[in-house]
Amino acid sequence: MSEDLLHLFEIFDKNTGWFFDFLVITFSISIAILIGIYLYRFASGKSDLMGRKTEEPTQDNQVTLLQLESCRKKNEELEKKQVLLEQEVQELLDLLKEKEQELSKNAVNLMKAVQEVEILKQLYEELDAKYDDETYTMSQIMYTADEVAAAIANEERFKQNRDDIFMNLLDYLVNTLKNFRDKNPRVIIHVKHPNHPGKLTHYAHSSGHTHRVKIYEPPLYGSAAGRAWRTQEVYYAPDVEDQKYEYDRKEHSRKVYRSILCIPLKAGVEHPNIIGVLSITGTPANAFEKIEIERALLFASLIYPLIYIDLKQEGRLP
Amino acid sequence: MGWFRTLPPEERKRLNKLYREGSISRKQFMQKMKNGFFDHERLAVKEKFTRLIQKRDWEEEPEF
Repeated sequence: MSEDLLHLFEIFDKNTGWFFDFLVITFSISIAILIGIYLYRFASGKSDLMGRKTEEPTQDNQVTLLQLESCRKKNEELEKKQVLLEQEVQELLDLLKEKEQELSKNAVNLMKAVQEVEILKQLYEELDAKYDDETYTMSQIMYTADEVAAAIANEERFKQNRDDIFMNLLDYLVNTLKNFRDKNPRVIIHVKHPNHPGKLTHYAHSSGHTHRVKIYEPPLYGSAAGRAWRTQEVYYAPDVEDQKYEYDRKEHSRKVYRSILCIPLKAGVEHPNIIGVLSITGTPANAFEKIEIERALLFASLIYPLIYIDLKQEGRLP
Repeated sequence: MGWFRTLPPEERKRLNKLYREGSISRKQFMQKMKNGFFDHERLAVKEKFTRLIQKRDWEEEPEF
């Protein structure tokens, strides 16, 4: 087979020498043209070193590039906006925190205000109750003054109903004292004894006493009423069991009180004219408040004229 | 001027008796004895106060 092929080449060489030369020349020229084209394309940038065609942007590619550029710009803008929004969110969160703190503070203040309103409400109710009590006392004073005036105006009626009128008058005083049921206050008036210079004697009393109230004659020394008579000053013994107070501690006494308040019945300040002592007893110790003592003083002044006129008419006053 | 009417002595005695017997409370006794005397201004202020408190109570309680 190879011999045949060699034989063919020999025949071909003998008969086609010119054709081979022509083929070589043609091939060489083609190579040179190709190299020229290659160099031209490389120099003009139409192909790269390896002879590959450089890509020229097509219309579609340009659109895509523009879109990409647009997207990139939008992305940058969005990123900037995101940063701004994050800052804004942070600021808002800070503001929210601040407002929450402010709200919490305001809530505390509001709670305090609500509590203060409740306290004020209670204070008002307390004040109103006291005002109510004062206006009631005013009415009792008015009725006392009315009864005193009626007694002075109608002497005969007074003489006939003396005990009853005084009981009524002194009950007005008792009714102004608070916690009547607990204190069980009782009032008695003593005047100078007509026969014993060292003693006082019964003159009048409020309701609630037994008949024995008329028997007791307090000594001028050693009794609460006697002390008020001597000093011509209000004498309050908040606890008669306390030895420091001047009080007549009688043996086998049936006393049912711990407090005693004695008020001199007197007129004038510089040269007081004392005519008796008004005493109020109360069941518990420390039975009387300052306002009650002041009311008792007022009532003592109110009934003074009636007692004075009565004693004067009976010749028991100088 | 019709409100200047004091209680007659008999009525005062009757009220006093009722109070001492415990048939009426001190509050009732006080109101009946006063019979409106010396109480106009107090009641007027109290009415104002009650109106104010009622107005406040109608509003919703604050929530915390």
